[in-house]
Amino acid sequence: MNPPAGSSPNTGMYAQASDRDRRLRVGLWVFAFLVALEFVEYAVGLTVEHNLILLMVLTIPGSWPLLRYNMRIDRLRKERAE
Amino acid sequence: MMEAYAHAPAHARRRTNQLGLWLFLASETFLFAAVITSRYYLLGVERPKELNLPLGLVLSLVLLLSSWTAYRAETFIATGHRRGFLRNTAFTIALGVVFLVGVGLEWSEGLRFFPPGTLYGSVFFTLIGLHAFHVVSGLVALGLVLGLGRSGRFGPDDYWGVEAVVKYWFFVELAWLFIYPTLYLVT
Repeated sequence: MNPPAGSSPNTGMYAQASDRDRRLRVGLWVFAFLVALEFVEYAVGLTVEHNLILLMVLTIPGSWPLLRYNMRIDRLRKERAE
Repeated sequence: MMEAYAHAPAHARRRTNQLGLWLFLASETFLFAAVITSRYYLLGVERPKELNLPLGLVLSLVLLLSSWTAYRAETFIATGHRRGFLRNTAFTIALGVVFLVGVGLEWSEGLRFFPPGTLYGSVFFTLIGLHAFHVVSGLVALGLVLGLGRSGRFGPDDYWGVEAVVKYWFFVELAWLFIYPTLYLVT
């Protein structure tokens, strides 16, 4: 992507657009991961008996990307440190 | 205290807002955890045969899609792209409404096969009802954000309102990530 006229590659509109693209990519990965997780859980629910532990093992770590990348829970610690 | 908050620098206000929101979400987590735990306490891992598993999966996917569009809405406003923000907020609201329609279908089936008087029915309707109430309140908040956004509020330097509502929406999604296997998949 070429920088728009009047902006250097690291500032202004170009930097904002590149930051946006990066963030949107992260959001897409998290979404794809969670969709895959839902399908895996569904398959486990259909095929595995006594699956409580397995579903817990899938769901608890599986929810981490949502907390980390979408809700940005780490910002809480960073902002307190500032 | 309110006066001190009003005169505090923007970064300090933002930190206070963040902390307040996370404390609120933590208290909500305890509420959902209590109701989810009651399912295991009352029923163990028993699951009725009549449960509509595909509908549960579709509801999960719709809610996931809505949290993705909510994420996009926040990203767009944070990077100064107002049209993208408005479009994705509107998509999120539409998907939230679709989710509620699905919950309505789910309830009509639930009333037939395991009414609230039964053990599974009471857990099912409490948990889904509690979650649906959060979806409705999230939709109201998203509607406010959309209305304010249309009238020119929010921008890359001032989007706390959007961020807070979107975080709440992610929390609704997070709660569903645990409710879905608890009600539909555990055996």
